[in-house]
Amino acid sequence: MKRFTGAVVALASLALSRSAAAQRSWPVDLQAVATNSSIRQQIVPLGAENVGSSISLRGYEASLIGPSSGFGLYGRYSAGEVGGASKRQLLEGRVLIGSPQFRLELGYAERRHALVDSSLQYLRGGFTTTTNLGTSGIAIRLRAIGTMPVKRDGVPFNQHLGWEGETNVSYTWPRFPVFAQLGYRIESMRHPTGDEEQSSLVMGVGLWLKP
Amino acid sequence: MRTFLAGLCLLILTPAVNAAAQATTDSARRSPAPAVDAAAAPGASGSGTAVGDLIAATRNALNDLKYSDAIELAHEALIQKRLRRSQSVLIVQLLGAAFYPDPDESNATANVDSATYYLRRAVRLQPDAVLPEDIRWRGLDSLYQSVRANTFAALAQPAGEYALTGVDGRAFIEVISARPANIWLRSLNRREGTAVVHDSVRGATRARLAMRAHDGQRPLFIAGEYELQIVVVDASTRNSDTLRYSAIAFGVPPVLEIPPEFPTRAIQPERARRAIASGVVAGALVGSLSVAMARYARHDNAISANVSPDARATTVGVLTLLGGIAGGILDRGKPLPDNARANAELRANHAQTVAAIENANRKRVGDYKVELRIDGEVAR
Repeated sequence: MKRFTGAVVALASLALSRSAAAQRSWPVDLQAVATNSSIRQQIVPLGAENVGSSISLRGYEASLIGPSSGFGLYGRYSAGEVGGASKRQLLEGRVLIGSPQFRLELGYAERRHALVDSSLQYLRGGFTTTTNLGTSGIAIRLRAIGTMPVKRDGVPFNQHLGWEGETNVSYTWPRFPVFAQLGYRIESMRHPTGDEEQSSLVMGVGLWLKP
Repeated sequence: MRTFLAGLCLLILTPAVNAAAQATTDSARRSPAPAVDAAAAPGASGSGTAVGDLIAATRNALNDLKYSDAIELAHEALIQKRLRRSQSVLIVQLLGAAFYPDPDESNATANVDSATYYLRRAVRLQPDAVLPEDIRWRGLDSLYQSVRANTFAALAQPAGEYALTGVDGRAFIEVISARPANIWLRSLNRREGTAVVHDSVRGATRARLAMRAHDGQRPLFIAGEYELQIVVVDASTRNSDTLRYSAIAFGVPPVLEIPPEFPTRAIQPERARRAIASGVVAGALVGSLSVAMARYARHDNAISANVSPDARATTVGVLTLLGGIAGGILDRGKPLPDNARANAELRANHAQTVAAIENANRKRVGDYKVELRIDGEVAR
């Protein structure tokens, strides 16, 4: 019943907010968001059974892309308590090519691998599509990224390959460029010592200036 | 005996005389000359002319109480050619008086029907005419008032020629009605058969009706033959009288440019289409991918073998679908400022073009001159 009431209140506030002035347009697409990821992590060392754990990561993401220039930058950082210690999970930078609606992403990342408990360097590339649903403030995003280690040390290519997929839906307040998002992310990584899979529910709030 | 012969002669002659008198009065009504002139006014009955002499003789006969002589003389006057309206009015008034003698002055028998007939003729010729002082007596006044009250007629006094200019250079025609009436002035183009109402008044006994050369949109007179019609309808009894005048118009109407229609097809949408379709499609696609990723985007290993897909992906997928649908419904269409600017520019340019054409047309219409010559009243 409480969930239902909350949903009704959320929908009512959504409808009411629509009567306010429309959001203005900005010359760039700038997004900065603070995220909290609830992660279900599975690792399976070579020749062993899988081990599951849950961790929670806090993170920050920011992107900037000029609609006319077609270029932009993206950065992501996340950290959390792992094994009783606060550890950096990810530090990443990407170059964006395209538009706010569809862009190719190429970047470099230092990501902690659970099996070796240290950060490894990866090259990452993929694309992101963003569908802004007119003046509603609702946007739907899909991201697909492939991951390849910088140093393979003679390990076959297919044993290093990983990927990341993410979907999210967000709502931007009509009067202020503040938004909230809810998404799902799955990461599957391969390493000579074993495999790792992270399935995350990602919630975030932030600032989004739309062109 | 003399009286009897005179009466017999009158009975024989009356229809012919009446017809002649009618023709004469019709002729008089056709004339655009003023209704009353000094020569025919009471006390100045056209001396020096044959008609004037006959009228004077009629008055003398009436003064001498020689009613039969007066009737004969008046009938003779009525059949004279080139009678003016004022003379016709006076003659039929004298006839009315001759048929309705004052019993205090004479033993002559009153013929009320004949008196009424001639007084009605007088009223129809000139609704506002008054009886000459020298023939009035209380009974005749009463009869005349009664006839006037029951006779509906109108009289117009158009000039012989009018000059009309543009929209504002008006010409006027005076109209007199026997009783309060609704009066219209219209012109009938004889060649094209089209009629134009120029002016009207309601419930008036006197009116000054205006006509123009052009109404700003189209010429009301172009070169050609016209019939000016003054339609007078008694406001209470609905009896009507129509006065018709032949007229010839001279003038070359201006050629007016037609402003271009607004190019509605060139108008671009100022808002994008509502994102209902894209919301549903994006929501369904990305929502499905969320579920599919959780299920299939996994390495083929012990994890995928032993751990079921994350059910939270389904929740996110459903919420994504609902978000897409809600976004599509709530979207009003994104404003397209470039299109709005282009449309505003298009409207402004069109308005400017139309204003320039209208100004040019207004000037041409203002310079349009029509000369209207009235030939005379058309016989009814």
